[in-house]
Amino acid sequence: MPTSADGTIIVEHVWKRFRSDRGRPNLRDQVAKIGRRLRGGGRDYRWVLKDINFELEPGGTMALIGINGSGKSTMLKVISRCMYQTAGRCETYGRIGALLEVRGGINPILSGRENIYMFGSLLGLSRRDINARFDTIAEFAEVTDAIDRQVKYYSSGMQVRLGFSIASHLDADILLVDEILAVGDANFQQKCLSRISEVVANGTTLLFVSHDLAAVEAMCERAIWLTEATTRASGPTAAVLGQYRGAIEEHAATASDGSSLRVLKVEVIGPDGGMARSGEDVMIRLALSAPEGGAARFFIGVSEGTAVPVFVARRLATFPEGDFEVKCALQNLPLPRGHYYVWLAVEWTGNKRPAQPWKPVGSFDVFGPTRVAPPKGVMVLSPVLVPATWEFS
Amino acid sequence: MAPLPADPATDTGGDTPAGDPGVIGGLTLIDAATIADEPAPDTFYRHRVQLFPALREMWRRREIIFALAERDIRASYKQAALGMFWALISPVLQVILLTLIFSHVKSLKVPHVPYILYSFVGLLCWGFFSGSLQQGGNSMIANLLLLQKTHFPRECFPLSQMLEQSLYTAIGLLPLTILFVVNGFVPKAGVVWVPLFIVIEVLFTTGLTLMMSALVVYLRDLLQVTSIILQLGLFATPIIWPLSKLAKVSFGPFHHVDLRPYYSVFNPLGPVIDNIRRTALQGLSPDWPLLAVATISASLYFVIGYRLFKRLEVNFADIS
Repeated sequence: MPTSADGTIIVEHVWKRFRSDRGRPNLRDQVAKIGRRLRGGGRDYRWVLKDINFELEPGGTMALIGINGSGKSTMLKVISRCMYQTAGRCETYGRIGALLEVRGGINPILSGRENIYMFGSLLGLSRRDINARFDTIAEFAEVTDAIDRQVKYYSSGMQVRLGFSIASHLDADILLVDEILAVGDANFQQKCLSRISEVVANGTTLLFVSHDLAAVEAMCERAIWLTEATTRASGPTAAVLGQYRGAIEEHAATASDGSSLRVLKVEVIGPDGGMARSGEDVMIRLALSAPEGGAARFFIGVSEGTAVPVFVARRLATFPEGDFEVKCALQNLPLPRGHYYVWLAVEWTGNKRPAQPWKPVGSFDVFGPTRVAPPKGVMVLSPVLVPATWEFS
Repeated sequence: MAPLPADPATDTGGDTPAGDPGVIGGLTLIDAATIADEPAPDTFYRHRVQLFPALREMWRRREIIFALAERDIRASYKQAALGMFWALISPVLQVILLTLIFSHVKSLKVPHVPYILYSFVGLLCWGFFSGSLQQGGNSMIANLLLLQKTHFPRECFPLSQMLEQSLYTAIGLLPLTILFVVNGFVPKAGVVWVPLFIVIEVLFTTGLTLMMSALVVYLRDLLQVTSIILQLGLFATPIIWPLSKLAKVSFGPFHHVDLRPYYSVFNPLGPVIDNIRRTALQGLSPDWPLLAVATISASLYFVIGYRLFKRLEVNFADIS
């Protein structure tokens, strides 16, 4: 076996398949299945990972992104050896800490103290290790006062905190994190991220799965975007995220909906009719066509691609039947350089029913200063550019 | 997304992060159409686990077996008012029942040995075996979440159940001791051989439990089958009757056939229980030929069970 440093992950041409439908394991189904197979019926499996390649050096950080069912979690399970790949090579060196399901190892009947010992041992800590870390773990989980209470009397937030706290104090060489930040309040999310970056700063390799793109951007240098079991893009996080966000917008834009409005044209122009620039006035021009006129509320939002806007402008207006134009002027555009998307929704004033549901209608580029990166491990929810003057005295 | 040209005029300072949006350097795009439908045939993963490296790895992670067993024991008695006392009650009730029923059967009488001691020894051995098989067989599907989300050796689950059962068996030694005192019966010197017999039982039980726990993941029906077989096994194993009953069996054209060697191949528990009684209660010497058969058979059960388990573990997380 070649000796690589602890913390290395090598994934080479990894494929993984699942049986697509096992059917009920009763006799009738099994007999039918054997019959199908004898007649040479089609394959009864589907690939969930196809030809995945990457390599992580010790201390490297990488994110796996992609929509649900794209194979992210399966990839983590293969790496953590919960599952085995169907083909290819997957090697890891050093101790693996997997934060795959932090509540899975927590037993509700046992007390917090007992759970720290039990779950800690299951994750590979010795009793002596746990003794040494016990107070840190309890303190981090903020359950010090409730440590001898049964965990079933904990709030769900406390349970998650306890699980995360145990799992993140492993001193592993490789840390696998799967969508654990979706639970817990904002405070604890930030605490988790800080804890993970602390672990990473100590030289642990991080492989991170999350739908929270801001967290991905905050944590990882590189990213891999998986779609339908295959790698779609890989490289520096920001570049991959750009691709990913663009695809979400395309997907949303092509999705059919029951809107009664039609968007004919979308234009975003700067003050001189050219490109939009940070800090300057910008005009969003929409050409719309309505089958019937009326009074409605217009919402125009600007986002990085997701449905969550950076900001929204709203205006009540009446419009005629047929084609019309909407102009929305934004002053001192507070966006850093990048690619942005215009989202539009129109809501009838009377019954508050949508004339057009919230959906992306166009995109534009902004010139200007680049966004200032926060310290590592800190999320920025959306890019806003605020001019700042500093003085040190 | 098109790359934006640099625009230094409006750049008012601020760090330029490495992954500046718009910069496409280092980005690899892969067209799904270029990926083959199937992996190259020579790259298929083959799960080859050798017995001894697997045993070594399991030994390295033995704390997990203890942790799982401790967790289960704590969890199952935490909310019971009588707590661990239950572990004591069930074997005592069982042996009282068996003794009431069978101690009057003349042909089962063993000279100079109280029947209750005789049957209780057999029952303790049987309890460990049947408890392990039943609980161990269930252990994988009882821990599905852990099975899918953690990565320690899978045999820790059934082995932790066996550890738990050995604790219950040890607890059962307490009423046994009391029975010895009450009957004024002193174990014979041959009791020193007992640990050896227990090793045979543990080998046999481990092999069968591992086999069962792995197969149950694939076919849950086996749990039901097991519980039926175990109920029959209580009477098909020399617990309430002596193994010597098999020494001279006549059936069909055969007269006085010694079935014990054949029986020992299938059920090494027979000679194990028989020899514990021979040495500790009856003061006889061990029946070495039968023990040899039992040892070989139990080792085979162990090796086959372990290898089968390791072979099947590849798909545990997929199937469960």
